[in-house]
Amino acid sequence: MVRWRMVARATDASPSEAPTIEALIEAVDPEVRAAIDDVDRTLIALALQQSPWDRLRSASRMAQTLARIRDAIASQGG
Amino acid sequence: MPSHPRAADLPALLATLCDSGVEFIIVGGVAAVLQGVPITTTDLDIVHRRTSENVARLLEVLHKLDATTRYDMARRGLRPTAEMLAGRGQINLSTSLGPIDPLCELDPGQGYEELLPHSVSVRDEGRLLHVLDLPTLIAAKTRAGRPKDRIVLPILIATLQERDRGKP
Repeated sequence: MVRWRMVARATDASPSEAPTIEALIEAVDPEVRAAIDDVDRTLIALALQQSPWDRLRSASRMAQTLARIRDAIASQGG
Repeated sequence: MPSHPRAADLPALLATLCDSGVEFIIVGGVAAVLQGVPITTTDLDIVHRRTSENVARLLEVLHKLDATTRYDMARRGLRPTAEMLAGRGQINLSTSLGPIDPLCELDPGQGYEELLPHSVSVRDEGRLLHVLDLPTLIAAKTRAGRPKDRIVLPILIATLQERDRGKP
């Protein structure tokens, strides 16, 4: 069962034309542009299979774990 | 002053705001995560509607969550005010559910009403969220150009490409 859905737009207002992917890539600096091809697409595919709230829960848990590790290292004088 | 978590409980924060009737658009890292970008983030950035009723609702939630300003070297535990939330700046707050940054405007002249047409609605588990769309988020981060923005830009763009590829 599909528990979630993404609606195309939040309002019926006509926004100014959304930039194309090509235009967005053109606007970033060459260093950032070069890094796009190095992104691990398998992680993106996995994330896209999840529902928005499941993505949020995963990201939140990960950030909380990293914060705990950082605090533990700091408390040990690391 | 009580110690607040350094990483937000994002689902709980969002649920609290939604269930209190606060009108807002999710921007920043959480907007990216909700749209499938595989990153983590420790805080919640929102652009709230600046009507007096909505500012009062947001302020009530923030007070319930014991919100105080985050970057106050004197650690005075300053509380947010209606004037701050109705202005044009951004406020960095620490709460009992973690950090939240209410932004009056994303960029000058880019408040709730201006950004709403550039948002997508995410309906999940009975709640409706307005989320800044990926192209607008990418454009905003490109303009900002800070190191923390440049790091995530390749992942944001790659996700947009993959999502586009998956479209029928």
